[in-house]
Amino acid sequence: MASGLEFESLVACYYQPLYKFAFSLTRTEADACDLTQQTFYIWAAKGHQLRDESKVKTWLFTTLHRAFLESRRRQARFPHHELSEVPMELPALSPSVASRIDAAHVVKALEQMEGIYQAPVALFYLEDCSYKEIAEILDVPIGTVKSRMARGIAQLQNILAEGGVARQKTT
Amino acid sequence: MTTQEAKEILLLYRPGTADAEDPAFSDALRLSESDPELKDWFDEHCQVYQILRGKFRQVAVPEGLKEQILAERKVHEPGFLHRGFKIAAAVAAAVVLVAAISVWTMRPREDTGFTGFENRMVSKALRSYGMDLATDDLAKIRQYLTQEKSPSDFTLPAGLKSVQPTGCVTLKWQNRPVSMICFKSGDPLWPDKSDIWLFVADNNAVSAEPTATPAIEKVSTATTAHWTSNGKIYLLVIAGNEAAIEKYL
Repeated sequence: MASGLEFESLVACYYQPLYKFAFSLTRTEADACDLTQQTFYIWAAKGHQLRDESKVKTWLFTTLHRAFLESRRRQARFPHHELSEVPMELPALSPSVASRIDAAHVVKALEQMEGIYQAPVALFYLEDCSYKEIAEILDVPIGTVKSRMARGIAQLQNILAEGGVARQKTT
Repeated sequence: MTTQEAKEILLLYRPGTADAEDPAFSDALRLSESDPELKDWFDEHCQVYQILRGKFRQVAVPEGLKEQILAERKVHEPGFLHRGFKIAAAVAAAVVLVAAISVWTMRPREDTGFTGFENRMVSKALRSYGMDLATDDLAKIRQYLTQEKSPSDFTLPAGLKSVQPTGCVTLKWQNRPVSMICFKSGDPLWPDKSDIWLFVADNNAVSAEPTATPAIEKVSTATTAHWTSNGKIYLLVIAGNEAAIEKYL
């Protein structure tokens, strides 16, 4: 069945990167599995509405991110964060410290970050999406994406550096 | 452009990606070639990026997730995937397969015990899901589950017999069928939504200690009760607290 093969190919192509993005958001295996499955379920129901096949990847990541936000809204309303106007501090993580940190600790560090930065930072490291695509996935203007990403990267690296030898901050 | 301004721009630069062609980075990249301090900082930034990217990508994907997704696939089909995409997808699938084989021994196993089952089912209940069959007729639900070769000869606990069913979903756990029967309590907060779910599987599908008396516990924002009876394991999930679940047992 041709259409069956298409769906299988799509799953084969994207289930791993989608799961990793989901895991970076939820940090639990079961929730990440469910988000990934839910994304493909929505694709099966609505994917035919997408006319531009080059947008498949963006569509899937956008859908997963929206499903995550929806599930968060259901579980608990969390406060709206405004970006502060405080000048950004550049990150202070050196390559030698970074190389000694294990993968589980890196993902765990995401949990300590402000929620608004988690998805941009996960996409920054996990995917090769353009900033325009990331803006579409997160449904925010490209300038906001860059701003959140920069602050998020700094926050993540500073969290990771707390346990190690940080290089001199350059601000 | 100052060195500091260039650093703030290059902080978002991802080596090895299309960022190299992005005009937003071109001035700062040019400056990094002539500014030694900026060059050192940029080299470190690229190294840290590559290291952290590698760490993020080490997240292991649970065994069986792909099969689970395919098993739950419904009748809806995407309509436009063309030959070029198929070829690209096939190549990507081959790469995924090779990568999966190469890291096979390093992958953590999914918790296949009762806790893993319970967590998966609770997550399923609390998230949006597509009803395979929407009906308030329990006989039709049993008929559908029989037809789908999913457990259908279950016995409802006394407290659940008077609650209105809303439909059912067929699931897989470790490639074994699981029936999900949905009910709604009539809670005014959820007037049109299912808020009680009964999962039924054969005993041999889930590794769990037999218990005739329902064991109640809190899982995430839900409350569960599980018991075994006549070769079946039952998992009742409600969106309420521990006191609320007892009236459905």
